[in-house]
Amino acid sequence: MSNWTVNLTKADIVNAFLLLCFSVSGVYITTTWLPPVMPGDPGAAFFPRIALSVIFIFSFVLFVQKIRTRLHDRTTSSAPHITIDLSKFFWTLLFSSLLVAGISTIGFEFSGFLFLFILLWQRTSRWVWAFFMSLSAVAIMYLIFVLILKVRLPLLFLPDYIKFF
Amino acid sequence: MEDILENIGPALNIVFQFETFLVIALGVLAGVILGILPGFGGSQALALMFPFTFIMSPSAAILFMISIYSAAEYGGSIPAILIRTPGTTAAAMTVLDGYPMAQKGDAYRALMISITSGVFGGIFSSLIFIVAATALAWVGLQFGPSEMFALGLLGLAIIGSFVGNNPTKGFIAAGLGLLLSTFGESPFGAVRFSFDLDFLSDGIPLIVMIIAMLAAPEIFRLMGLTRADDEASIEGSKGMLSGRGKGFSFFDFRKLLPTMLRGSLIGTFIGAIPGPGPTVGTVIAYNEEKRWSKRADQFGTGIDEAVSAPESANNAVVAGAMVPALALGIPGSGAIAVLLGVLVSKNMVPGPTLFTENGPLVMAVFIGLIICNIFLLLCGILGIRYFAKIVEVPGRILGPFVMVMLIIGAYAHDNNVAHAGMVIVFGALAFWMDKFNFSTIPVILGFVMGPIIEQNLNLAMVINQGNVISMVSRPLTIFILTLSVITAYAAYRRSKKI
Repeated sequence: MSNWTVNLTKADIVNAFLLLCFSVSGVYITTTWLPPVMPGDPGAAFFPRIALSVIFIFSFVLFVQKIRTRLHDRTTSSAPHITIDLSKFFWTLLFSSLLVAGISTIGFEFSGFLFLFILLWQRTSRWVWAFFMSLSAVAIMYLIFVLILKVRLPLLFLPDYIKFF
Repeated sequence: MEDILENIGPALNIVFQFETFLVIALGVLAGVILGILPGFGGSQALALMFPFTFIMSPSAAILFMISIYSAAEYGGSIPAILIRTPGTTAAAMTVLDGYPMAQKGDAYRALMISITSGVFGGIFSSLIFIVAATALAWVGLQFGPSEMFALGLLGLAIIGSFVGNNPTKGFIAAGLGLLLSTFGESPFGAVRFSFDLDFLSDGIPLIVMIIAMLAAPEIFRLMGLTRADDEASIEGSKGMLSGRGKGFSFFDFRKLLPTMLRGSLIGTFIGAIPGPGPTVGTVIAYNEEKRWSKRADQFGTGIDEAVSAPESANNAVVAGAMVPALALGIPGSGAIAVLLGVLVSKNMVPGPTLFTENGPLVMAVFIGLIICNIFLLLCGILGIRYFAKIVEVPGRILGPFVMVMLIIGAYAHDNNVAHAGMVIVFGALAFWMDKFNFSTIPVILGFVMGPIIEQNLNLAMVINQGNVISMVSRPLTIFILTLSVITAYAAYRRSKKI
């Protein structure tokens, strides 16, 4: 499960096909928009269609190129492969998504601390060190972003400003 | 010339005061710190510090703000070089070679090149503007929508330089960048690709896209590091920090002078045009340097010129941007709009009359910029050894901290949690693009140039009643379009050779 090895030519063919579908559906979406009303105005759909055409044309070129390469590879068996560590990617994605979700639900101080503590503990196996590092990092970020820079981060219990005088 | 001689004495009187030196020093310090933080570009830093100007004299207030702006643009390059996370959007080009230099153990050298080139660019363009501010303001005014559209195409023409050995994938990535730049409001107010989601109707902020495309794949890598990977990379960086690695000598500075000159000239010129801003300046400077360089094939692997050119252009744009702002009252960017706000709050009207009624103040602004760059040099040189210490922190420990910083940085841009979510979504996309050999740089180029091209194309089409021939037949437009074609062809030829 951890390491995923994939034939790059095959992956390019699939990617090119997906991009072709993506650009066609993108053009379909632009057809639902209102036409231009001002004389000379090319309209809201004009530029997105140019961008989608660029994607379509080059995806088509990539698709044809890679089909030809694939046919050639079959005879020479020299296709390049790439290996991706899927578990690391998904763990990172999961943890960072939980951090974003946590910031808006349980507040930055708690979610930020938990995110750092769990990851640092897992990486160093020293829970006391991880605990104090996470606590100080969250305190410093709170001081800089919330108290000094007035970023309105969602907070659970800490005040979003402190009146000194 | 008479104006210059008449104004220089009073201008020096304004600048050479303890209060002015103090506010410049404080501005530089605040700017560098704010520039380092992801999400805090020049405009955010200026907006944040605006209230402090209420207690300052007009000259001190404007010099304070300019120091912050200039220093924030430099500060953005520090995390770009050290952790592949540009603090400001203009530092995106610095990542391309600055980070590979840091990875090779040359972080100190990259930071030194960044500071000396930035300071050179800042001083160079200030000197040019002291002599030729009014004339350059006139040149800037010649750029109408058609010329700006052509300038946008020129910026886009360099995509061929970033496609590596697979131009097809590079152009797909550029198309994706152009498409993503159309999310949100169109130039005439229609909402596109919002999918009934409120946060998408405002579009995707540039800083979110830059953080996601450049920094996020690196964070995914850092998060996956093991103790053994870390030990090997720290061993490599120790030599450089203790002074045994490659330093930066006066000889190196002299060797980079032509590069700095080219970057500064481009930055000065781009700055004088209302609209493009430092990001476009750095993109064009990087490409032009690649075109001039004898080792163009090594760009992207961590070479001196590739860090020096965008850095000198970046700081040169700051002085350049002051010209249309002060002489014509045209704010070329959000940051300059805040600067104009400071002037207005001090009962001064930006525009042609500012040069005649407050000539010494205008002159003081450019002299102050030179002083600000000298402070920046001191601040940079003294701070570099401490900044560079970050490469000693093991990647597996640094990863979680940088991830939190990125997410807060994206959030801080507009106090919007959706932007933090966007960083993760586009970061994951960038990770896969990277794995399947789609360069993410063309996405950023397309995203930066897209709005410039589209807005000016639409405006030019409306002005010319849809007549494309009359739109592109202006002499300056023809010149820039021809340059774009030559650039695109040269870049494509180069990519085929690699």
